[in-house]
Amino acid sequence: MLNVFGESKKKIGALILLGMFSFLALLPFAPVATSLALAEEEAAVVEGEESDEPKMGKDVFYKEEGEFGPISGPPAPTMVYPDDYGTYGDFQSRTIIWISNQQHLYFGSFVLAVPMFVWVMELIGIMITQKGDAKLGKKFDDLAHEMMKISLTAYSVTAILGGILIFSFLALYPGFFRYLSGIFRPVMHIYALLFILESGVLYVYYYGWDAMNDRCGDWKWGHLALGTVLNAVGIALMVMANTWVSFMMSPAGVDAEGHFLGDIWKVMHNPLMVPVVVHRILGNAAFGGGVVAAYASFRFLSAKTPEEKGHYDWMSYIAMFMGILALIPLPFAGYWLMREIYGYRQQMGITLMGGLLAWVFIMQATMIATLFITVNYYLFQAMGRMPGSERYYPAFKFLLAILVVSTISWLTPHTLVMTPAELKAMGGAQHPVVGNYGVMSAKNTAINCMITTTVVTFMIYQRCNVNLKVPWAWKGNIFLGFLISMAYVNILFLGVYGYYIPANVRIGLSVPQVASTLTVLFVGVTVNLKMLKGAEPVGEIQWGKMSVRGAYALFMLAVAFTWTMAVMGYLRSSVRLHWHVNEILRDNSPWAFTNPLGYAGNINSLNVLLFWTMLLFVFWLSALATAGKKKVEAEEAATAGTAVPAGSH
Amino acid sequence: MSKYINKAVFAQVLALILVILAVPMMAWAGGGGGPFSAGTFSAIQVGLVLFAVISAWLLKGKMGLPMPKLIQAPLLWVICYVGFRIILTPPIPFSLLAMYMGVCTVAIFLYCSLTTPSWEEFSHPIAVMLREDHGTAKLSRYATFLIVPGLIAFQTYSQMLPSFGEPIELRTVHPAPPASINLHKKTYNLQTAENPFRVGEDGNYLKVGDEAQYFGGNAWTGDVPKFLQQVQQGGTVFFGTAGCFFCHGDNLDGKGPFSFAFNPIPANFADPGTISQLQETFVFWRVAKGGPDLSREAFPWASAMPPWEKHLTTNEIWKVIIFEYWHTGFFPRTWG
Amino acid sequence: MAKKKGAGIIVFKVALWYITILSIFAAYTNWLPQIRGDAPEAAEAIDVSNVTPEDLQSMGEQIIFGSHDPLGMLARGEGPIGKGQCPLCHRFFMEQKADRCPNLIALKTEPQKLLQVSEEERSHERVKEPRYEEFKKLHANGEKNSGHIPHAETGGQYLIESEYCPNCFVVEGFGLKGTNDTESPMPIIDKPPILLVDTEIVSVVSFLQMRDDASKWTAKDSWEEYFGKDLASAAGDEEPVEEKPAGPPVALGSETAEEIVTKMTCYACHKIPGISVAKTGAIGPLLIEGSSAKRRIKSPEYKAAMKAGTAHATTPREYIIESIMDPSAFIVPGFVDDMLKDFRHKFTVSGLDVLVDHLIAQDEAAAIADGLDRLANEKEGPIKKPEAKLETGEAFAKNKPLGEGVQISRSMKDSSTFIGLN
Repeated sequence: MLNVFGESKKKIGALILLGMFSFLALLPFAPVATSLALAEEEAAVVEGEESDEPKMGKDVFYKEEGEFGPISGPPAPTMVYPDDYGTYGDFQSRTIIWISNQQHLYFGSFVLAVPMFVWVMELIGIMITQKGDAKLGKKFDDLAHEMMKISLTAYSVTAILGGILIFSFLALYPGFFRYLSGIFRPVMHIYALLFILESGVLYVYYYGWDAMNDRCGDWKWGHLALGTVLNAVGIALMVMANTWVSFMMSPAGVDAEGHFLGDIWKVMHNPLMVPVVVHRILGNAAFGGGVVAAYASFRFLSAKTPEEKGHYDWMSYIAMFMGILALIPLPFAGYWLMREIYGYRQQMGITLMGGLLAWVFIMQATMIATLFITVNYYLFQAMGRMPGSERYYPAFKFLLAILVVSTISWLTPHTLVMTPAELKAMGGAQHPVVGNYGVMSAKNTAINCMITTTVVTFMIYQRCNVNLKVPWAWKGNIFLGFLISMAYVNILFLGVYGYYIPANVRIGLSVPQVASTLTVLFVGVTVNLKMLKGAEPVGEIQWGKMSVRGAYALFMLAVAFTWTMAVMGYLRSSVRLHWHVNEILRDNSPWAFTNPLGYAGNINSLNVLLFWTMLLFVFWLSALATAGKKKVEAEEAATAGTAVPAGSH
Repeated sequence: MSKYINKAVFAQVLALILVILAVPMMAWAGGGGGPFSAGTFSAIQVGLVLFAVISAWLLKGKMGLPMPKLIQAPLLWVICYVGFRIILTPPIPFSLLAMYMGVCTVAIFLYCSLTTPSWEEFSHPIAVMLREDHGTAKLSRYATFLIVPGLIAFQTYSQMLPSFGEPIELRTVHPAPPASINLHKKTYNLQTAENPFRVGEDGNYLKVGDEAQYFGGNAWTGDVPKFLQQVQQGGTVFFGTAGCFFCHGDNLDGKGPFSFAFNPIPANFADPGTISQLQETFVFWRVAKGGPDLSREAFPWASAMPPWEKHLTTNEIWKVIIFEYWHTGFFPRTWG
Repeated sequence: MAKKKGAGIIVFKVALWYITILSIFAAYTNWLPQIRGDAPEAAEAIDVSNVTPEDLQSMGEQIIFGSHDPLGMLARGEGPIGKGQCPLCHRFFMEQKADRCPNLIALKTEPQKLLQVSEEERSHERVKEPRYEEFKKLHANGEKNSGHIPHAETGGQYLIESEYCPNCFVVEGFGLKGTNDTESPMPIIDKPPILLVDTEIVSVVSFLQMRDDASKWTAKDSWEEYFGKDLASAAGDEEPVEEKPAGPPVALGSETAEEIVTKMTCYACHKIPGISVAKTGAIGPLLIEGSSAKRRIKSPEYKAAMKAGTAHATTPREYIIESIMDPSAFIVPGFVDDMLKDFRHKFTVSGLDVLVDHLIAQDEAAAIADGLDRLANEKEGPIKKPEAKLETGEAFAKNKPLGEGVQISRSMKDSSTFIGLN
């Protein structure tokens, strides 16, 4: 589609620009080459001084090939309190690090996720414009532009928070930071350089938006390519920061004393790195969607004109939709991560799922259930703006019932809190009925049911304001009914069957369960879309007519996303127990203990509140900038908004 | 029309009151104080629920008298409560009940506000009660402002009332095992150790799941496959050498003759939530080291499980584990 | 709904909604069970360069007594014994009874009772004793068990040396019987079974030096002077401390007699045929209960004890069990009531059986086969045996008869520590 070999100077310009950025993108790797060369030199010097061969260390993780490596760094120090730890009075230093980390992470996730959406929005905008609907195309393009503006302010906040984080580390955990930076030395430099590159690309991308906007011309495609570079750099940044964290959880590339064994890639590619990265990218996207949706709902609530109201209703719907797209695969990614953790250390897995931190998973289940119920509730509310949806109202309560029953079975803990009298009355630590819901089999079933239900709600949303006109509509309906009920039956059957087979086979069962869910998602939605072809609308979508409860549901969604991130971060961090770096670098500070859940809950709520307060400031800033332009935009948007069919995205 | 509705509302309120009154009665009856046997009692419970459902359907579908949302909501709540508190036997602990009822409360609110018409139906009477200035509204407003603080006062009172119940004991049923244990001068890595007696006919290690072929067989006849020989020897440990059955029961259901003396009560291996959730090495650790070796997170915990390493050989421990899995028909967890 | 309302009201409402949700979440987490996961105690091997002497002193106290309140434990009738096991033989407090090895009492704090010398002060005297020069000559090529050559120059170095090499200087009167005070009954502290690491030994010495006067602390410097290397760097080379189960050791039926004897430290006092570690004990009688138990029950002294109601055994087996479980029931003539009284808490029934089975199988012949003999203060006298097997112990017993009451006089001989309390 991108014809840069034309005669236009602009096209050549775009090409040169792209080339420049590609070169810039390669720049950060220069220090690696230098550092590798340096490492070789150092090794040579060591060889010369000591003996014929460098001392070899045995890797804590890698076996067989690559089990041994030359010792190329100091051992992990024995941390001593108070020398290796800084304090501010008796306050838990860890909590300060916790809060600054969390804030940095929130803003980091946000500025990482928003460009992803923006990229997709821009692409949709270009494609719609190419199809000929310039007005709708512009609407998407403006939406993307507006989102980017929020992200821009958030970006500088991220940088500031990152600085605060580093200073907190240096001030409070100097010993730990010294060790970690000793190992990740080259990577940390690349990280810093990539950050500069990210800033450059971001500013060009944002400020060049209008200048490069020739609707669907080559400059626009070039702009989109810039967006690609921006996202690539952003993801690279996140992956790097992730390797540090996953190294702390599951170190590799060092020996049992913590000597660096010379291969930085092994350190980065530690056992939990890939699943953590995947989980985090999806989580970031869902979180970003939630934040933008909350922003839009706030503007929706405070909108002065019906046009404005319509625009932000639409925007919140789009953002929520993007968030949900990322949310649906998230439980599966989480399941994979958990499996890898069990594979890495049984002890770690049991600490999480059955031991010390098991109650956090009940909290997490609560949060995920909240998310899915809220999404469904939002969609129910959103149907208030769709004429003709009344026909589906009676079905809502059954969908809600499925969600609630799933929630109840998912929330049932494996370990019950009870008085000895209750224990005796129950006749065992496990309840004969409810106890069956405490195990993985039931929980997998519950989450799959919830996701399937969400998909069904969405399918209803797609078709609720039209009368089907395709001749095979009745066949299609029967097929869909069959598909959905078979999916539920399959999920339930496998869930029950799971109690009768060994655990390793049972784990395999989650695959067909997930397959059922995904079939409903892809086949069901596709068939549903096909059936909508040529459908006769009952009435036009009345953007802005959503109930206030829907907007509040979106706030709930955003808070639940934020809070879930916080609680899962607490979980991931706590599972190291009293280690800075698991089994390598011990935490000898007075705060080596694992905080109880209640404390974590308080800090999480504080963190979330802090984040949203700062975000409010960011929103306010971006609103200041556009206060003048808004009226015109809103009018345009509202007129375009009415033409968007519900099923088109 | 409105006359009928008022009658219907009256009937429903009456039904609601009856159901609410029925709760303590049913608790009394089910608690062994009443005249009913357990079977009759369950039948009555099911009958009551069916009656409620059918009458609701009759009222709405046949008589055209839909139940107002404001009545439905508390009624649903009470039904949920009765279900979880009384119909579900044996009784679930309060913590779980609170969790369930919390979910139900939120769910019922969502149910009432699912669509705009339903929300208006639900909230309109409340708005009337709060805003209007005529007799009924006023009366209900005053009643509400008496009842709500009254309930809160009662709640506070019952919380402040000194109680003499045993304190709640939090039990971490599966505390995290150590990475390795030392047993009889050997170190076992719990991540990788395998049961040496999990062998097939050819004497090779039997993959987890493959032992299903031996399930249901009789291990105590003369000539049995190798695996069942291990089972038999494990059984001898269970019922003889160690006497596990005193606590864990003849059927491995945790109901041995001594079990009632212990708190926490012995593990029920027949439950899908115990050994089938764990790796063999985890069970090995628990048997060998017993209560004293539990990690801190497992406390407060007064597990009476003795450290069997002091009385059994390593081989006996492995064999009794084989026996436990064989007898219950469960498979140990594996991650392969 | 929001048509007429300003943005301020909306912000307020939304903020209220946020705070409500967050409060509910936080309240829910606080309602769920709270478990605090405490970190296990750190290994004792720490970087000495970064801790204060006071920390070391406290660590040493923990190693010696297993508690920071040893006096309180004594008052409650408990035995404060830490992993170093020092108070088994050394006396640290007036209230404590232990005289197998030199007193380590620091008495400045209780001037009315004592002899006003602390172990710290005493240690400076030791290295100046002429006997220390003799030991230097004796072990000029390295002491045979530990490999160290005595070369302490200061009191601090002396204390360090004594733990790594107990034989490098043996206080007069505290040597193993028959060695003319050249061999110490004390185990080498940095080897199994006690197996303290360097930093732990330094902390024990710190405790001794700082008990009365914190300014006397030289432990770390002394260590470094003595070994001529840096303690901090040496700490890294130490083998990890073997993890021991919590609580006192317990003798089990699954163990061999040898293991039980080792675990219960019987060898510290008794010689037992057939047990390789129990060849030198010189505080209690030789344990050849196959023959001596029978003899003891018939002895008039035992009859008297039975009459007095303290002893009850009628068979050799019962006699042995009684002697272990209740050592005070009957004291073999020539000995004092010096045996630890807590074995009844440290044996399983099957473990006791193992030990009794072994002891009851031993007789003179077994002792001869192992080259063991009775102590001089046993009434039965030396076992008759072929001339060829006559060894130093026997010869020494002849040269220097100590006679009865040696247990007490041993303490008296160490004039600098004796305080006349027994």
